[in-house]
Amino acid sequence: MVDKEQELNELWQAAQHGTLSRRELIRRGLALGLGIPTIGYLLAACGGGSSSPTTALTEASTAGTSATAGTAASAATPGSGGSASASPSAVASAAAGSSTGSLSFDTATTGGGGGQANTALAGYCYAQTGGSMFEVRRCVDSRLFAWKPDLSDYIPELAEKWDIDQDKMTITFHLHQNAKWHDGKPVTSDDVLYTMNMLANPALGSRYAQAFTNVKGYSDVKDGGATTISGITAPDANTVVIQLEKLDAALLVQIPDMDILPKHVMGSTAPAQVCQSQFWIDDSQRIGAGPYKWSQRVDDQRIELEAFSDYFLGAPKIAKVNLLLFSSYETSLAAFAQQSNYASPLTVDNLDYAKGLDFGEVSTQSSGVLILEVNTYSKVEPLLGDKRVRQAISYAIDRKTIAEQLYKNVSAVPTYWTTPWLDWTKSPDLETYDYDVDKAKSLMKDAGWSSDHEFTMWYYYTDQVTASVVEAIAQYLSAIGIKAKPRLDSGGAMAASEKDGSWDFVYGAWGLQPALNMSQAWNCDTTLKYCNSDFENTMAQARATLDQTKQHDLLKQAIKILNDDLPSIWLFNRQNIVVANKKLDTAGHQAWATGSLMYHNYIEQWTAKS
Amino acid sequence: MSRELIRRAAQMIPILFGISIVVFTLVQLSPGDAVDAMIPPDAVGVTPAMRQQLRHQLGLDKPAPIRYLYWLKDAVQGNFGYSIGTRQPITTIIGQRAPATLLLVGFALVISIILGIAIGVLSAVKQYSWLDYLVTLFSFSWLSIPSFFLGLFAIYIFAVKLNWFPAFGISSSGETGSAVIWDRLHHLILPGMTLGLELTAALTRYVRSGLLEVLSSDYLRTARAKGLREWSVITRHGLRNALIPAITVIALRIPVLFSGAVVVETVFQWPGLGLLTLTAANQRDYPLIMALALMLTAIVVVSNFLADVAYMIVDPRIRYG
Amino acid sequence: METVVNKRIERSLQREERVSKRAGFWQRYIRHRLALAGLAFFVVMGLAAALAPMILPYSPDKMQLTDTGLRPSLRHPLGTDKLGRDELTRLLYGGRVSITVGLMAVVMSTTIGTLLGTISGFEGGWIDVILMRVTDVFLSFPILLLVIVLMTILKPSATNVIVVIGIFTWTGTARIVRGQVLSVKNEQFVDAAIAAGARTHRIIIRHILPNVIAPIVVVSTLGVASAMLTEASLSFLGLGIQPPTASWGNMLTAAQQIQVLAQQPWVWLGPGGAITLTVLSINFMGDGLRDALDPRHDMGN
Repeated sequence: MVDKEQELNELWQAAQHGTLSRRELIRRGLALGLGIPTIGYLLAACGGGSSSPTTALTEASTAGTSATAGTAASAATPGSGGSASASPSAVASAAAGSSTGSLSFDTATTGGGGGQANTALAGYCYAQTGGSMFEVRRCVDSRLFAWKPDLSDYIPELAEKWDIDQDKMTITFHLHQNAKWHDGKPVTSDDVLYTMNMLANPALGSRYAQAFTNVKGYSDVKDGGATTISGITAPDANTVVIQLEKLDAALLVQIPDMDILPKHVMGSTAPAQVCQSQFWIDDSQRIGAGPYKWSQRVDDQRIELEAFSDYFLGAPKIAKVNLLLFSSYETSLAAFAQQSNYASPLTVDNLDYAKGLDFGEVSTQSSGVLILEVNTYSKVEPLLGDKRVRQAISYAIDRKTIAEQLYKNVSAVPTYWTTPWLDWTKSPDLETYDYDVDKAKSLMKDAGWSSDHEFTMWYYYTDQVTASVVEAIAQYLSAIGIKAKPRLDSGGAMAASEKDGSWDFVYGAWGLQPALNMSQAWNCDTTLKYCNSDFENTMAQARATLDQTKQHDLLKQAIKILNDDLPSIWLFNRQNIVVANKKLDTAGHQAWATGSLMYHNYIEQWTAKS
Repeated sequence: MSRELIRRAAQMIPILFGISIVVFTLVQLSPGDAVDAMIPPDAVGVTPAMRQQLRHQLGLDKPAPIRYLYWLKDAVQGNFGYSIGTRQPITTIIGQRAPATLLLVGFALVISIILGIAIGVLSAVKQYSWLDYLVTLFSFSWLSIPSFFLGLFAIYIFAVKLNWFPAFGISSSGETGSAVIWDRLHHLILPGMTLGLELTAALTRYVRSGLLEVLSSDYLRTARAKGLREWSVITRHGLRNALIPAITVIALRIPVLFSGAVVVETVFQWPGLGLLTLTAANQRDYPLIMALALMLTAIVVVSNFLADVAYMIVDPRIRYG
Repeated sequence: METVVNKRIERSLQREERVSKRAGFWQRYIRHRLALAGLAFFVVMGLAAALAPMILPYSPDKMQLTDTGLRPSLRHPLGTDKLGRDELTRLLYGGRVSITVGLMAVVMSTTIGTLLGTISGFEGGWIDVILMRVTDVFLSFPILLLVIVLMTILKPSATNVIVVIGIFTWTGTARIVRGQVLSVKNEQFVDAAIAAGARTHRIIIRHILPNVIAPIVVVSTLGVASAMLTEASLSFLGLGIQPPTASWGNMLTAAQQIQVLAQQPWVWLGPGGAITLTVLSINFMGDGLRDALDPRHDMGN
């Protein structure tokens, strides 16, 4: 044993200093009985430095033996990790099969922070398989493709590539040959069909059902006549073809949200029972096709994940990931200060404290817009349905001062249109509603406002800054004659008021997402009950074309409609602030974009020093 | 004694039953239900119809009395059902969070008994000294400081300024072996002392007055005159008399410790039953709220009973009364 | 030999008595002083809170976004909050809310308790038994849990806090009143009065209530302190008085953030100190009252 170790060491030294040729290394390695992944590791170390040779090698050899031979993911090709191209079949991470170390970070770092994630499975069937917690979905689950964090492109996951034939109106997905579930079974087109049919089934009541509106055969499923969509077919185990009746860009932008579920585990569950299934909470049943396997949930403290070495995009470099659950921003930050938590969400209030920690790196990125929603169909005050009143409100709020004084221009900056994270949506003919109390007052006068009623302004973010912002907004509104009392939502009291239409104002957010999703938020069926046929038609046209330029133009038109009509009043471009430990290396990829956007964060390539 | 026990136990049942109905009714009366609390408010594209469907899937659209009866049927068999929010069995959830609170309350109890008796005795023995006045003043103060302010102040002085103790949480992860015990203790001291200080103050006053009563009584004067040593006089006779009100106070204050734990757990972010209660109430998770209510009621009733028992034991005059 | 021992015993006993008498006097004097000090503080605080609008130029609610988060200075002795409002002003206005809630809650619980105690004691019989059972049950309630659940149901507001505290704290008063009623009821003059045809409520008012007032006053005073602490805890947890209305309890919620706690102590030391000192002064007053109205009851001697 000692001899073997010594030989290993020598081999390692040789590899590091490049004193042996590759052929020699391979020969010697095989003679020593090293597995292919280990040899790959050796080759990768050629000329490169690494900290602990023996341990790395021992771990590599043990991991190597557990990896099944011949999988492309552990091919002995040196080089960097997976690329963002549409056909990453040749990818092999250099440290294939040599997952080491562990990483712990706050699950709520990318959003839903400060206590909202403290019940481990809050909303696990959120609107029917929005699944449990965004970070869990990113690590454990996989989908056909995910977003790039800046929404500029897609990153392939289960689908290596896909072709869109505009004449035949088909989308063909070519699945990865080597994708496997965590229990070893292969991911096939059966699973994709199963997932899509389940999501479309009205018995489940999923918000993704409408994505299939223009797929052939969906209307039968919607009526209950069929349980499978005839237009989605699987010519072979690795191909899925979707036949459309009309071109539909909205289907594509919702694919990233559709985590593919295992048919062999869930297939026998009736759609109506899916949210009750033990699959979501039983440690032994929760499987996915993502880079990390669900190991166990420890109390309300953390969810432990293990690297899935057969991950089709390359075995993860970090062996163990702990998704930590904290009940508040404070405890998360305290743990970060002790370096037991490698990433923590921040608010403006604890920004200075975090900046003082020299091992941490603070970053911000857009996480959506903060908006004031108005009940346009209010029975108490029908004038809220008058667009002039809403425009007055928009003019009456001094966004700039609030952003400066309360958000310190860090966690939010002023905005007046729906998608400030997408530069192409900006346009000079959008009204900026700069602070103008006189104009606001005259608009109110034109509309004939005379109400003395005390309106309720709901808000649901529990942080102190939001409480102050809402108070400030209420005071701005009182200056133009609208009496509003802020009220923090608790236990669905707000939802109850939305049910019977008795709500007045809600200060909330619209998360970062593609512009095509605007029709999901502003339509006639949701609580907002925004019924504007111009807007709907423009959005329908935008949805029906895959031509980027044409689509963008139509979307800009739709934004102009919203900007003028103001069903919601856009206030700030919210920024997610994160502090991450410098010892966490995310291999050059953006790691902390906002939670609700299903982007690929390349966690399989991250490394973390302890 | 055992007849009394049985009588008390029998009394507990209608109380528990009544509490379960009261709590259930209260939660049903609240606006919003578990489904409303479950779905994030900024969820896009979730229509009221979808919410209703989820309600139906989770069985929440059945009429209230039916749901209560289902709950009751399970509860008497010891099955308290599943939490609506996390779908975990409630007995598991409570089992996971209870140790933290028990640790906190236990520590507070032990500390306050030790400190209360020690300071009370000292204060009584050195009556009228400056120590005595100081103690009297302080015990008043501890009863006046709101526990959350005390906690915040303790964090400010001992954690932030002096850095002697950690500010939040129950443990620093990554500890192994025997270091875990020290780490736990380290985290326990500030919240434990905060919770226990009020009881310490109360105990001090009762022990002191009980002891003084005896110290100046004829019985002790005679004993002292007989030449018995002062110390044995104090311990054997004085303390015994002082313990009567002390033990009663301790037993009666145990439920107060559990309520106080809610605030202390919030300030120190201690993951125990207190925080769980707040979360459960906020999420309208009625099976969980009811289980917690029943547990707390049981604790209160048992504590009252223990107080009576202790009283009977310590004071022989009562036993035959 | 015996005489020597006796003499020694006698001398030590005499010394003890002198010390005891002197000390007893001192004890009472100090307690008396403390009670007076408490009264003085409470009056000052109460007046300051009541007269706040006349003393201070700032508004507690109106924001001033140019002056957010200022440190204490001459213009703002306790600095400003996030919305630029003067903290000292908010402290005094918060005092109004907290003290009012405390007083009103006690008024409510005293009323309920006196009523139920009187009925129970006077009527006796099965009414008494039922009411005593009810009192027992109330004592068995996990009060805080019910309060939390109640406050999440009801819209959080000052009125609801008063009602909730009042509902759960009447048992002490009821017991005392009942006890007094029972002891007085059996006095002969009451029988005589009944025989003379006096009406029930006149008997109650003229004979029973005067005896009851003393202990009720003591209990109520201490009850105000306790009610104020409960309101502060509820507001701190977010279940009581909601912002933007200031109350001493909810002004302390800000301190839950480590940055405020560590670097802006003036934000929370003010309201915390105010609650503590006010409750302390009320406790001293109550203790003093107890001494004055019932000299037999003596905790320290």
